[in-house]
Amino acid sequence: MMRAVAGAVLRLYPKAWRERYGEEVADLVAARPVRARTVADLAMGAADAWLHRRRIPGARPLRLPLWAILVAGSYALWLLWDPAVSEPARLSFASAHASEAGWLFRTATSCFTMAAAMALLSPWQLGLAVRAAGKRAPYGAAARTTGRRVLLTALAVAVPAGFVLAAYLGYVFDAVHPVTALGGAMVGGFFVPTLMTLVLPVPLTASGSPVLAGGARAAGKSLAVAAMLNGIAWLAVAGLMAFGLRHSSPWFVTAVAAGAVLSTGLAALVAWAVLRSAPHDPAALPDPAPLGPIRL
Amino acid sequence: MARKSQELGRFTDVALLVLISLAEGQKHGYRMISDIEEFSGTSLEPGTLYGALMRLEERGWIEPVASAERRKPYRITDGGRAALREQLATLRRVEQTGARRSLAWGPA
Repeated sequence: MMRAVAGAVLRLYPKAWRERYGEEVADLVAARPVRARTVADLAMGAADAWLHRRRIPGARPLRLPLWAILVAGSYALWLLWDPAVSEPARLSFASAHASEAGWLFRTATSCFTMAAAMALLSPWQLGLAVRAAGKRAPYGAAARTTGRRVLLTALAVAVPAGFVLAAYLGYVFDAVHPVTALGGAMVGGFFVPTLMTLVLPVPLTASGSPVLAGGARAAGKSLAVAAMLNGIAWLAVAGLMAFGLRHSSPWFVTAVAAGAVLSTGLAALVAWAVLRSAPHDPAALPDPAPLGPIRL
Repeated sequence: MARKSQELGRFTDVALLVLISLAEGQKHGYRMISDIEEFSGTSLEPGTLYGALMRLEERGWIEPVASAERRKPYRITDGGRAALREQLATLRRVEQTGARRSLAWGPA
């Protein structure tokens, strides 16, 4: 029984480890007495092998598709919507801190709004770059081909991005489900990374062409500014929480902190992905696989 | 060397035992476990042993020996011998300091 469990635990090790040591350890398990302690030791060894995967001789770097990270991160971020945005009623501000709280609230909402605007500016910049490159000989034909791909991609993401933008504006202008003050300050932190993720395919498509790499890089810079504004806005939210933290639950604080980390992380990842795929040198061919795997 | 040994984390002691075991000659995992148990009284489990082997191999202190058998033997490298010598020298210094200081207590 324990031997079978030990064999099952061996399958939990990373593939590179199993290829390198699996047969030897299986042989060792078959030849020696197997106790609960042996199984626990193998389980700890499996966790250790995953944590130190790079140390396995011959192991290749773990490559996760960018789209998978963004989808999983966005899903995790939206799971935090309820605990983070619905709970702020428990925060209370002393009247002495009213002006500081007001200033922080305005900073958060303004920065989130500007971040969303910067995110939406990037496809616009690319549109201008496509138009300019199409008129320029001898690159016109190539630019027009890539330009069509960029346009198709932009059209494909326009509907979901428009839907997300409409929902965000609904919260900004209290048209849907009014949320409490702190909730209102942080809603942008949920919408901005989602918007950035949705517009990401547009500059990545453009970066496939050296002719449009400059435009893609400009779009990447706009997304980088959006990511920075998103981070600043979360700092303002943290300041707001510091004023009203006394009556908030630990679960709420944890949810907001996790939301802030995910939001800033996703936004930074989107900006980084575009800047990486659009090199400075227009003659250098960028990564040919948009939304392809990234090295961790 | 001291810093490199610290990087072995919780495997530092196990790595030392493995190096001492392989200093005698090449061995596969099963024989290493038996040998270590015999000379140190420490009974190693496979997960711990192979965690240490992975780190020692990564540092180039041990290397696998080509073998057609399922049980792959390992041998200590020159780097591994130097590392072992340094670790044993450190242990001797610790032992001598401990012995000298405990003498100051006088007879029990």
